[in-house]
Amino acid sequence: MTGRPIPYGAGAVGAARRVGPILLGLGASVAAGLAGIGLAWSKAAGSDLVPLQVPALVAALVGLALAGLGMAAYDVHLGRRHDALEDEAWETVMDQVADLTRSLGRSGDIGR
Amino acid sequence: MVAEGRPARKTPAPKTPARKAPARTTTAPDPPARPTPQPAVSSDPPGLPARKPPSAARSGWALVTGPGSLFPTYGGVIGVVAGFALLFYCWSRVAAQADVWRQMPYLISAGLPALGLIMVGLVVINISAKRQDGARRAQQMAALTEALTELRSRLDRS
Repeated sequence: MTGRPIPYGAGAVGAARRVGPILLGLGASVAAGLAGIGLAWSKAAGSDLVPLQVPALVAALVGLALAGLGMAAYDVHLGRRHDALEDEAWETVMDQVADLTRSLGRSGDIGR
Repeated sequence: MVAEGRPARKTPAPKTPARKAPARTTTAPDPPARPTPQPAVSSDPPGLPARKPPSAARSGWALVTGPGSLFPTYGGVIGVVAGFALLFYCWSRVAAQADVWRQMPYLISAGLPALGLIMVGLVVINISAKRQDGARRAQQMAALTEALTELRSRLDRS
């Protein structure tokens, strides 16, 4: 009895590394946040007046929040993907245990 | 038995008690159905009234804060959206003022709390996702325990 292979090897790692639209969106969010911080820095550095620098500071906060949002969402995405792979592995283990129990029931005198 | 695609691990053999004397059976028992995810063993102490089943205890507050609930996730998303809205409001008010002493209150009372709101919302979303996965894993563990108990009883019978 071989059963299905448990999907937790090199194939699963490859699937986790595959770039999908969600990953692209999250990467775009992080890139936009970092670009916003850079833009705010250039605005603040290009002005001698503090009243003109403060709005740039707030814009930098927006960029920081955007980058943090992208990173946190990527973390959640990776965690859920990992758990989905584990779910699949669990299903396979359960199927194999059920198969084993069934075959034991069929043979009847196994272990004697 | 090691399945394909999974690295073989060296695990110590579990200590199993001595089996009962095998009984000769001529008819094979019915094949077992796939076990449903339920806790295998009751943890109620003897002499005490049985606890309520989880479905009966699951009401109101437990429905909102339970491990499988989606409400914390929605709350986190709302917090993040509110934080971004507050940041944009802060920026619009700060950019409309020409004096620093007028800008600072907006920065401190709207900009920084908005950042905090976003961070709290993201952490709540993260924790909620982890709790949901943990609840599902606990269900699967219960199902596996039940299946292994069934397997053990089959082995003992044979």
